[in-house]
Amino acid sequence: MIIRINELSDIPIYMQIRNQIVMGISSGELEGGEQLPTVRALAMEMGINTMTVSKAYQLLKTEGYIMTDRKNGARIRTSIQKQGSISESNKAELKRIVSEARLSGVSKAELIGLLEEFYGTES
Amino acid sequence: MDAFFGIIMFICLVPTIWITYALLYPRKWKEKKLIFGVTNRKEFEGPDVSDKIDAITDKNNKAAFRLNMVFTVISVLLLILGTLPMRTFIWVMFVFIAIFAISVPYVYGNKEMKALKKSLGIIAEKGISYTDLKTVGTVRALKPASVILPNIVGALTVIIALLSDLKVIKIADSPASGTFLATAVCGSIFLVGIMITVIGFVMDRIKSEVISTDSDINANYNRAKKKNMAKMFVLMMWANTIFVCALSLLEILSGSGIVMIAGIGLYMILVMGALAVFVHTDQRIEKIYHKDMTVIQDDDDLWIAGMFYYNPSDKRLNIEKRAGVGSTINMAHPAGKIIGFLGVLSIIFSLLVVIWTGMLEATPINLRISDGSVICHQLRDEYMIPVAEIESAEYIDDIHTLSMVRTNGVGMDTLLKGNFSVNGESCKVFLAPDKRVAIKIVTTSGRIYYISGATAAETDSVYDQLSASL
Repeated sequence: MIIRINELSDIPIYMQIRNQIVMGISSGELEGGEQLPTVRALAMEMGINTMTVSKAYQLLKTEGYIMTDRKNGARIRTSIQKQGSISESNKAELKRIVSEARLSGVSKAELIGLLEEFYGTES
Repeated sequence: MDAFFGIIMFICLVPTIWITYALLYPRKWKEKKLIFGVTNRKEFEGPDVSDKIDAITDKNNKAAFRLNMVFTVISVLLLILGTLPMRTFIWVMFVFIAIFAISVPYVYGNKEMKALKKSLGIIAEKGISYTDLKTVGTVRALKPASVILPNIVGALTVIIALLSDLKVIKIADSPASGTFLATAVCGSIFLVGIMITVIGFVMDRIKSEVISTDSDINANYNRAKKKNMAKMFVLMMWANTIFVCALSLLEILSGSGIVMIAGIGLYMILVMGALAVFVHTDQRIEKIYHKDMTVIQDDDDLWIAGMFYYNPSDKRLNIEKRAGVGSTINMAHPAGKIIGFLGVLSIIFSLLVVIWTGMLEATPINLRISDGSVICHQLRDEYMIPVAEIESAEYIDDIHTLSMVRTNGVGMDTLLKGNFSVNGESCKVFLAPDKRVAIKIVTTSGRIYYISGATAAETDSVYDQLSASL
């Protein structure tokens, strides 16, 4: 799985790593039980601080996407808890995206089409 | 001896400039990942743009080819004209100039390609980097086991040389024994082997490149490249350890500098051969994977002149070279700045050493008696031996009958100066060996000197004056 980092983005690097790993799990690129690189190895490879990677892993662990232990390092959880709801922050983000799309003149059908495309491929 | 030095310089220089030419100057640019250090992009494939790139590559490739031809011809001439005055100085300066000059068309090519990119309106997304999670820390090719053995052989050679110099073991009746020359030579070569080992492991752990969205392609591409590099390093380590150390031991046994220099020449041929094979294989890998290169990481602007990496946002110090073989440093990294500064200092220091060597070659030695002392002068008073302290003075008709081994100092065809072991005795030497004659002086304190003037007449004159006063 390829992680694309934009150093100049408003989104912090640890959040970019977190988001892309979540997308990887959702799309099936990262499978349950799959080993993730160590914090040090990933930081060295990306040329970023180890604290940044550590923060991303910590967040993923708190959110229940990965599990970590001293012996095996970080792995994708084999069973991710399905809450069946969207968090309030994600709802707000979705609302912002829909609003921007509407203001840009994107039709509702087009937006739903995109949603179906993303959800379909990522289901 | 200087003729062998010329051969070694020739073996080093000529393959280096042609390997550099093969690496930096793309003949079939459409198959390359980089054109003069600028990322090859889909936008370059259009007919108009393609013609412009053809023109840029043709012009600079031809310029580099012409330069290489000139340097090769000069190298051959320098090799043939072995009796040239100041040839060591000329050779070293020539190597410095050639290595610098061969990159000049590349720098021009880089500038032209960046200008073309700008004229096409291509603006690279800044600050973008890609990492393949599946290749992080997993693509390794250099096995520790493959480098342990050559290093053990190297260490053993150093121990044997040291024990021979300490006279704990006796290999042969060699005049070099006890001078620690063999220990110094073997030790230095062993340290070079250790350095190659460290560089090999650093190179093996360098960031894997992302060329495709397919992780398997990325893993295979990086594995192929690192395997090729690991093979080169292992071959270099073996060449370094066995070949040169064995020949250094031969030097102990034979006491002949020629044997050692011939060995270094053969060693250089091996290293250059390994490098040529590596470059050829690396280019084949690039060609095979060119069609799979779907991810473009355009960081051209971070490479000054397509050669020097400067990225303050990148925490890595060691980066794969864009032009040439091996790795380079991130000049924006704090340690990179220090290494860069030390690099410039070492180049300046090397140039000063070369200039000093040139001055030694150009300045004739002078031997005279003045104010009651024998004075050996070249650029400065090297030795002042008070006549009152001289116990005996012996005239040597032919110094080539002596067995001389340099411990430290200068050893040129036209000048021998410093501490030498002569017929097994530790001596101070100040000689123009091509004039053959010398005076052996033994002082009351037991110190031995072998000295001569710039001409046989000068030596004879000082000997006559000494004989009269003793």
